[in-house]
Amino acid sequence: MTRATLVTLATTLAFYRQNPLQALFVLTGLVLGCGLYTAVAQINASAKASYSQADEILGASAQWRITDRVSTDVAVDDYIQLRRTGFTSVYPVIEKRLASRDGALISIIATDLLVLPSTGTGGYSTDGSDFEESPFDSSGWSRLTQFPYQAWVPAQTAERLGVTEGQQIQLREGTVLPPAVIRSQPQQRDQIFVDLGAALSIFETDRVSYLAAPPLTPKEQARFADQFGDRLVLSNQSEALDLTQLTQSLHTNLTALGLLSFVVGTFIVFNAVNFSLHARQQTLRVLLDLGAVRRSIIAAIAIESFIWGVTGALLGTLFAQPLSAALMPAVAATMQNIYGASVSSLPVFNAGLFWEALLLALAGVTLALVLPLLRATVIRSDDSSSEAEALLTQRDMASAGVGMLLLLVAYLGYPMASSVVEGFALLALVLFAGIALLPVAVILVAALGRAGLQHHWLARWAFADVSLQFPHLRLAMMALLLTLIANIGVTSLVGSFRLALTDWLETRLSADFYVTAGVMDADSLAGEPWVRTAHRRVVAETSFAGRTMAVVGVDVDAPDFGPDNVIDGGPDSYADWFAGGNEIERVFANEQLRYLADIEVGDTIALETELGVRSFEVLGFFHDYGNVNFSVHLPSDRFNQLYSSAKPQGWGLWITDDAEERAELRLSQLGLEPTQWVSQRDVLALSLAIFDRTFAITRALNTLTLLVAAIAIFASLLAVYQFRRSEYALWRSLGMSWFAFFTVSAFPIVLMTVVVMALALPLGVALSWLLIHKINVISFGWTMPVIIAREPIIFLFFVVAAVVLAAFVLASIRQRTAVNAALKSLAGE
Amino acid sequence: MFELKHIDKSFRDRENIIHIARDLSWCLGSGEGVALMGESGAGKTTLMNIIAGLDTLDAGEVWVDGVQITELSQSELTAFRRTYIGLIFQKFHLVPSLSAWDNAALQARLAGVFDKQFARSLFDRLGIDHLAHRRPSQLSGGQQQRVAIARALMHRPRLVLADEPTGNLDEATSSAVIELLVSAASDAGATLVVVTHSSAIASHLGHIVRLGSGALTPVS
Repeated sequence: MTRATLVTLATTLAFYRQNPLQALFVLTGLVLGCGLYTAVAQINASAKASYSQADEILGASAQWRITDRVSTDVAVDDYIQLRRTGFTSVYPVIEKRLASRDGALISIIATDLLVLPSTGTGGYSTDGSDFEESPFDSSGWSRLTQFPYQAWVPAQTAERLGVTEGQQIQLREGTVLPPAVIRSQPQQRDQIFVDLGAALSIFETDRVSYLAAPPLTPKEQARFADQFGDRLVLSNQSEALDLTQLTQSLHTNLTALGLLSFVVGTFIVFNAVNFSLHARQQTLRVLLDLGAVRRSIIAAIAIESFIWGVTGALLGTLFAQPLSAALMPAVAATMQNIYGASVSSLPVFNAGLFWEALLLALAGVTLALVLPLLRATVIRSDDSSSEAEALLTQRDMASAGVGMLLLLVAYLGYPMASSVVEGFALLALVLFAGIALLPVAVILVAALGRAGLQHHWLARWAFADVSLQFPHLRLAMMALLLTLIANIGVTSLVGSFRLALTDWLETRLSADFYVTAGVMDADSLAGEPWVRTAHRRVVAETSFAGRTMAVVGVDVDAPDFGPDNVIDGGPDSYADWFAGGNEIERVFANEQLRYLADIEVGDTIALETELGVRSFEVLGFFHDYGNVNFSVHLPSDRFNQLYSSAKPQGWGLWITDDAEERAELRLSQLGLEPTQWVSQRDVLALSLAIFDRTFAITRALNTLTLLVAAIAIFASLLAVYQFRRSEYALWRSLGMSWFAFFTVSAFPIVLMTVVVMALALPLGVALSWLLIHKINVISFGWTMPVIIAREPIIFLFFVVAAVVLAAFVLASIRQRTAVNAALKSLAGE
Repeated sequence: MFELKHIDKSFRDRENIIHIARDLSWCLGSGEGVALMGESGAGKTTLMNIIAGLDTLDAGEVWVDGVQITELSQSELTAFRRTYIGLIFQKFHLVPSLSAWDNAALQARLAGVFDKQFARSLFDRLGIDHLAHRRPSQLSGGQQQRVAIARALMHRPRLVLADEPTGNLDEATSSAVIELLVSAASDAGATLVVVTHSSAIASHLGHIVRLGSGALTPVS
């Protein structure tokens, strides 16, 4: 490094010594941007690492999964029989996701550690680093498998649930888990582990969720099919749903939000640089006049950028650690609830992400710092001021043209987008169109206001001041616009989803009680006066196009499925459906079949039944939110003929008015245990609680991005006040009152915020339309009505108004003192 | 019109104390014009700021049109300036987003005394009536300073303070601008104080005083 470069560097860096606040803003932008991006990338990497272990259970291979052909669980007797016939590597698993008494969601996994194919290790200690005593020593084993048993709770799960060693977790329906021990098995993730025997005892069942097995030879597979194929299904997990593919949309969504945060963070850097640029233009020109060669200046700027980039990436990566740890449980919940994917609640640090953050930070600094500074070495300051004063600059007009073009491309590209990445590219087009259109929108509104209020001089002045403030606030307003569009889009998506899910659940769960199969029969139910109507629930599972297909037997007079639930069916489709066909079965299918398998109304599909393969004609579709599998509804009469050995799952009971307490009492009197019936209202509440938890990550990221945008506005306002201090001093020197002063100086930010809101509304709605009708369809295969609810958007606007007002008030706190001080130097300038 | 009574004002510059005014007293009547001269750093601008109520004193009293402005609060000072004082700066300090007309009318409007007829006659007298709709960036330095003069006079102040009003202008323009300022202030009956380095500019005013070592000396 030459002496000239060092001198130049020391001279340009001296600015930050005199203006530490600007240094803080450059750093804040970089740390927030890098931090949010890294946190999200870390969450994605951790989740994807979990998927690669998806065919393992507690460290044991689970490449094959054995399920009951007609029931949702497997009898322990079947398991015993399998082992007796030589399938000794098969092991039983119980997996349950339940709510604790205080509403927290917990996952329970149970197996027999002794029969796990690769077992031989002990558990992890509470810090997850060292192995503790093996569970197979005499005392450890007996504590785990004998009353009162043990529940092994991973440290992070215990922390989340507030459980301490020895404490017993009580479930919502009253069941109490064994005393907690804070330790975990490999890949236990966020699940509570109990011994199989303990689980069978506390859940009072003789059935397990499924059986798992390590790789089976073709000979073993053939033997299995021969001996157990009539009642058990063997499926290869590696051929099952690809979790990485399935969850791609969520990860792309998170990455997009992370990048959005980074872009918004870069805007803060841009604003800080704007100010430092203004202040250093003279310095750079003096350096050039004094003989510093351009190469030295460029080298000094490059070194400064590198210093900022490294510092920003380092601090950003550090900031990402607690952030990702705080967000990860919400992501794990999303994965579990939407995709059924089990993901650890603890993010894993990935050193590669630091380099990614560094590259991003350097790219961000290069964009924000290097280009304007280099421009400053060749452009005179007068040029920019005259440009700022023009009503609409050529750049603004070009920007508006680009905005319109982007919207046109999005419109034309809409029908063609067929992958998640293409879907998100459409979203990006809408977002960038918004920021490209913003300058023209603001300046035109200001010009219209000025023209409309031509006769009121203060209004004319206030509107005119918009064109002076906007160049300084442009980037912050763009950041706010991006955040607001994303917020409205996602809020509408979540709102639409919640409403659709609630409607769907209320139809599906319209029965007041659900009673487990085998504890009541039709005769006993008929004798109960409080039962208005009762309908049997029966499902058979088969497969179609590589996915599980649930064939549901539906009572045609049951209140939870009727003509109103049918989408795109003909006028007589419901009548045709329950009348049935002769040669061909008639079904209604879930939307997943339409979007993921390209089945349309009138198409026929072939499904395996107990009478052999049969053809089913699709008469219409129904919404089936959140289901990753296919499903068809068949009238129960036909179902009973085609799947005669399917065991009923239970009864849906509709009770007479106000008979709830009586019904609960009677169910108890009939000898039903609390685990054998459930109030559908509780299920509905639990489902909605799960839903809200699922979208917590999106809400958290949206809030964080809004916060970053608020900081960008605050930083910009401070820069505006610095830039215009002498002008503000002039206002006061002419005798302007503080009231008039703050009215005129606040008006531009108010107007710009209103324009941002007005622009964000249609673009946000367009975004939610794309999310629901494109991304959702591509990702999950179902769609729903777009509901643009007024309340959450009004609330969001209030929040934004409050945030902008807070930024204005904070930035104005020292304004009076600073302007009074500037009054003294006004005449000297 | 204004009177400074035994005022003290000093600055600390590292080890040294610089005295701008040391027991300084000065009185000027209505309609008079005076040039305030002095070496660089003598404190001419500070003294002007003190008279305008833009800067504070260490000791003494400042009376403008019978009001002791050193007793006024910041808000009262602002209101006082709005009505009684017109200011002209070396760098014009026009509001870039407003037209020449709106800039010139600004203080009169703030004071609620804007008179369209008077404004038109002032623009006409200053030779800028054809520039009324232009923005500051579309005006030359001389034109901008004429707008600033119009602003300083449009609310009919009792006192006009001009700090190096021709400091950014060439010689020919300077002469034209100062002539306009002096005659327009005289027509309006305002007392005029012009801070300047230039003897040529000072020669347009009726009196000249020189500030140095904290005291004022009349120049004959």
